[in-house]
Amino acid sequence: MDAIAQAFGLVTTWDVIFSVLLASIFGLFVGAIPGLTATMATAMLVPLTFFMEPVAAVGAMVACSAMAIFAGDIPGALLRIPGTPASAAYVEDTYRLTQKGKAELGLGACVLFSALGGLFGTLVLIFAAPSLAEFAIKFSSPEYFWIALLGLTCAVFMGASNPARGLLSLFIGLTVASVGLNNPAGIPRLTFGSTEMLAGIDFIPVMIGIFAISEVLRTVMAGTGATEGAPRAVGNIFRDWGWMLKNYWAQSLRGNVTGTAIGILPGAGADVAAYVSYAVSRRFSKTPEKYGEGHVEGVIEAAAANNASLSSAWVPALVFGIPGDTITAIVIGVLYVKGMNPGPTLFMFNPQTIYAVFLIFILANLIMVPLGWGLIKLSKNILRVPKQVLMPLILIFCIVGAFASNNAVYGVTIMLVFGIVGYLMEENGIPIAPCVLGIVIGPILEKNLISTLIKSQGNLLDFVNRPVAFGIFVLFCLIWVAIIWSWIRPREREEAAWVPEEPKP
Amino acid sequence: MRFSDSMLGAIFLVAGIALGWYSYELPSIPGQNYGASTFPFMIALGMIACSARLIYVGWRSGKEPPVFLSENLRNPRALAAALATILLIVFYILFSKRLGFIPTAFLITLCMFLILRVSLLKAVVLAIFASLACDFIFRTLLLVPLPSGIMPRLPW
Repeated sequence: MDAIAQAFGLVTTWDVIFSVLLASIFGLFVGAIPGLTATMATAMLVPLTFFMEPVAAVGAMVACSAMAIFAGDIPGALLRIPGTPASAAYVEDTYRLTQKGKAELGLGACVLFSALGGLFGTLVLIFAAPSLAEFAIKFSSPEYFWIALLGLTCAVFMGASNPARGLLSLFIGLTVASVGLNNPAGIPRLTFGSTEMLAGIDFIPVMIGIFAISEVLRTVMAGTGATEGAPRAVGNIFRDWGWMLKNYWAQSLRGNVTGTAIGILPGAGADVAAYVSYAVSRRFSKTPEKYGEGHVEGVIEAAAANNASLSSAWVPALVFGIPGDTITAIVIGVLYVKGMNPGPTLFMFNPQTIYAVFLIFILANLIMVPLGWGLIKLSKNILRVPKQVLMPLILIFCIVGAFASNNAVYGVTIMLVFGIVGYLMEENGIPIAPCVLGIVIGPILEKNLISTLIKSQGNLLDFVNRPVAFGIFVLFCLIWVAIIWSWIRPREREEAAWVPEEPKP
Repeated sequence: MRFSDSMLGAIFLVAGIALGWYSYELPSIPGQNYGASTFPFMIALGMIACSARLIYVGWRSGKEPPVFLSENLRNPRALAAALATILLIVFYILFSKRLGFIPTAFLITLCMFLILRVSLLKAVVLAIFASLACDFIFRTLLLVPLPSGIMPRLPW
């Protein structure tokens, strides 16, 4: 109890509150810009934290990343360009809602359930951290292998209208992920003699290209005639809260649990959490056909999941020093600089600082509601700007964002290539999401596949002879049986009915 | 530009075979049977299987033109606009270092505004504003080393 009182004392100082507030605004700003990710926001904050006290520094990182993940939903809803990868899973739904003139419903869901998800993840972090981390730490390469494969299966599932096209999209992503030196043998792979490609293909320019540049290309081709029925303003985002809480509390809770569980796993971050829980939500929904057409159900579950995973990703980071995602990987670096070395001893010798960090988590998720409301009120102006004016600005912003990812025009080149690839994929009815997820999970999948193969000397039984690995394997098989079943049975009917989507006007 | 199922299948079949061929020749970790080639080889197998299915579906559904140009692509103006956009990004890649960020950004945004039929005066004003704002946010606030090129260093 003494430690908690001390923690309160640490948090309620002006410089902590001030830096948390400033970092929140910075996170909202960066997250709302398409192509700038929450990870990027956190990374850009690192040099500033060197000048802060430990609690203020870690608090700033916490607030900034939580806000950035939420703010990524806003350009997704208004422009169909997710601000961060974590918002990509449900961008179709929020954008269609905006087109229907119901932007406040989608964005209201994002604010409320992001905050609730973040609070749930924090509660798990506070109460269950040590024991949950103990469970996750027992995982070895076979478990990770199956989890990665499960995530990828879920991604293909989402583009379920045509599994062959979904799988091809996934294979494109996995191929992109295998470029570079970062493979088990450390051999330059698919680099074609380029020095820059040795480091692999940077994820940020790929995201900018595949989501933003393809959109710019489509708009330019459609000409100026394409003024879409954008609403004048985002209405009262709080209006539908009561209704959503009443009807979708179960989805929200499931999203919280899924997100928290995925966040705890090292290597799987907010984007994976959002994709998996969106697929889960669609699978269990009474109206799966509405998904992707502007339905708020999946948005609630996935928006809750990505913020929940952000908090719970700190479980392995704090207790064992293993990053749960890219953001916590950066945070671990800051913890060492500040003398708060992560590990079980942190809880024993320095509990008040840990409790202070927990308090900041709660604070950040609470101020997300007013700050998010303010940002949404400001960002409605984006809708008033005609697309002819907006697209050139987006293009130049994308170019700079891609350049900033590694301070070289190499990023811009990647962005351009993937812009064209993204355009062609969409034209041909190949879903984008499996490709994006393939790029993120590919390296994890390969690393654990090869480690397991080498450890077992090629004995495939070693992939399933650990209890948890076997459990995930069974789940994986069940999902595949369901997919193959739906693939074989109604094939005759579906193929006759399948018409390639009309390109957007 | 839309490809028929068989055409799409054929493209990925070639890609899959090329990837399989390439990865087959990668060396494995010394003393191990697995290495850099294992994973891409598996991707290649999957790609070939999927493309085979697409070819089969396309072959069964009968005659479809291998490439279908959508309305947009048959309109020369739209095609020119898309090509110009791509060329403007290539222009940035090639010339931003020599010209500097602000002139390059100004030219790119100006051309884009004109392609999208924004009036000339508005386009010039917006392009100047966009390039200066981008420079301020990224170079001054976020410390991204944008190339200065022929531009004198700005006072902020």
